[in-house]
Amino acid sequence: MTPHRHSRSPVFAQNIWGILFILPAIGLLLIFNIYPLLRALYLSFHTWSLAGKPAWVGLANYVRMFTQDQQFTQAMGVTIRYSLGVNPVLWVSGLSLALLMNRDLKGRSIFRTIYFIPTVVSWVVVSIVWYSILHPSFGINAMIMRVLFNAQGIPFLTHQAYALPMIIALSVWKSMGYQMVIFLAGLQAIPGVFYEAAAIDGANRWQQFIHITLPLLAPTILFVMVTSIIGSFQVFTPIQILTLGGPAGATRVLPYLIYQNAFLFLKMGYASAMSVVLFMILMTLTLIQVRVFRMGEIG
Amino acid sequence: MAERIAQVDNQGGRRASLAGETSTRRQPVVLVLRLLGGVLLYTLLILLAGIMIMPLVWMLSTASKPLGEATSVVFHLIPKEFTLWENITVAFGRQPFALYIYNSAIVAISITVGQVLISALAGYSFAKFRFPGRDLLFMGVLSTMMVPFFVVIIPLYIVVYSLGWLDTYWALIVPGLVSAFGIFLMRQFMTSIPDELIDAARIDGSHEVRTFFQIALPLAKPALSTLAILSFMGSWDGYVWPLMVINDRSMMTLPLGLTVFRSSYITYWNELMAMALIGVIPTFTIFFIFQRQFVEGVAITGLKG
Repeated sequence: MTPHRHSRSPVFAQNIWGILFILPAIGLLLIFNIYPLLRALYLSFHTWSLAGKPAWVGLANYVRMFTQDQQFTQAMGVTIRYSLGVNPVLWVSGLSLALLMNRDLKGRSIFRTIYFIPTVVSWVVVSIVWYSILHPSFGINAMIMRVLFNAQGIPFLTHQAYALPMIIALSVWKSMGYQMVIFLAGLQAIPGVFYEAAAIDGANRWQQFIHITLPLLAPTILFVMVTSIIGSFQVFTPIQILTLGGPAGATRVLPYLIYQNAFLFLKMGYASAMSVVLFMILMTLTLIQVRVFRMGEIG
Repeated sequence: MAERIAQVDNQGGRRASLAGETSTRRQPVVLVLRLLGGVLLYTLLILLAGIMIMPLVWMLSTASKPLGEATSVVFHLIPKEFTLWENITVAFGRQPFALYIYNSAIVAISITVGQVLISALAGYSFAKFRFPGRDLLFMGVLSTMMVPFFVVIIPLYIVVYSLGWLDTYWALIVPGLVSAFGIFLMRQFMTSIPDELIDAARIDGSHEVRTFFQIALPLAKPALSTLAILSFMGSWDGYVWPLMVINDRSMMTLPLGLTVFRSSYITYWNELMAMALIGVIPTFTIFFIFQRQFVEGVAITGLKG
């Protein structure tokens, strides 16, 4: 690096330009990201229905949420069940597919493309299509029931026990290819020489997986875990299109409850409080995961 | 390192011949097992591929049928009566789909261009300029990625509401113009541009803005196109935010318009599928043309994260 003999002003001018270049980005982030975050916190201590001014209520929203609001408790349960249903399946299948696609399989690139296609389709289209497929009168649902059992199609989406599993299935269908792609990228970043050297030393496939693949893939795994958990706690579109949170709240996840409280019941303060709680939950989950992985690295 | 690899190759060769000797004795059983395993594996993979594709095939099939055939309990993959074109034209007449598509296009293109430009400027600055607090600020930008959308959605709505932006393009476009991920992507890429090129331009007296547009941007094409693709697809498919800020039919975007079409008292499923097909075409086209870049872009989020 050749030493530069600049006088004061060019460097200073550079600084000015540097700040000017980031100004649009920082400005927009402040207005549409940071400020709303702080405002959400502020609003959570008030009640407000968009008319008049927000009224201070202190911790009342939080107290009510945790002690009286059955819908909130239900939503927490639904969200957790959804997350537990979607994520482990996604991780295992995504990683398995990636491992398979990483080998010299015939037709590998065709498989990869096909598995990734659901990710490319928008959530809205996916939800609408699945709605028609699951339709008890004419969907694939109806067809299978008629052919196999000579019966009507099962009304999955209006059935308390089946609605959430169906949405879980939809999400898994949609996101499996995406996770596969990310894991695949992580796998391909591992130099093949490691495996060859291990094979020479007598390690079998399983041992290679445990001692080479998993440790080197750890950052990718952490990333996938964190992002998919955060994503699963924010699922909204399929529920809005398929079940509207029903039947009787069986698919009403926390984001949907927040939406209802804010835009249907016009309880802006209460909804803000719920979104702050959501934020805290996600923060905590993320920190726990990062901690666990750090400990794994040292150990 | 090269010697070690050569060593590995040699020893691998020796091992293989040893293995060959033992396996010849057990050959038939091992081969049959391997074959069965392979067949099983391929069957599973093909089955899975079928499951992945099936809903889309269903969509295409339903979109090409007249309503009676589309909603009958008896299902034929190939439509008895191929009415895709009619379905599309009738649907356009029933609801202002042309308007929806137009709105979606305006919003998606504006956001894509804006996001790419703003992220490139910021990424370039974070990578190539030095100013006080630069790294701290960059960390701050990255940390905003941790804020879930549903946390800011209510105040964001209130901001938009008080600005009088409800039911306007402003509400749809402006909040989406900045992307912390975009800034991150551009900055990572820009750091790989040699400083010497930038310094040479500066010494030649080139204006900072000119240096950016004439030297940095052209070199950053891969990152720019990746970001553009992800941006476009994200904004074209956007649903939750438009749902909240748009109530006026004439300002709706296509995803919103599709869901509204379904709420009418009788749902024209075949036409709905046809319009959904249209909604999918831009993203599909981009995916197939820019497949490698798209997948690479997705993969980068995983590697660098």
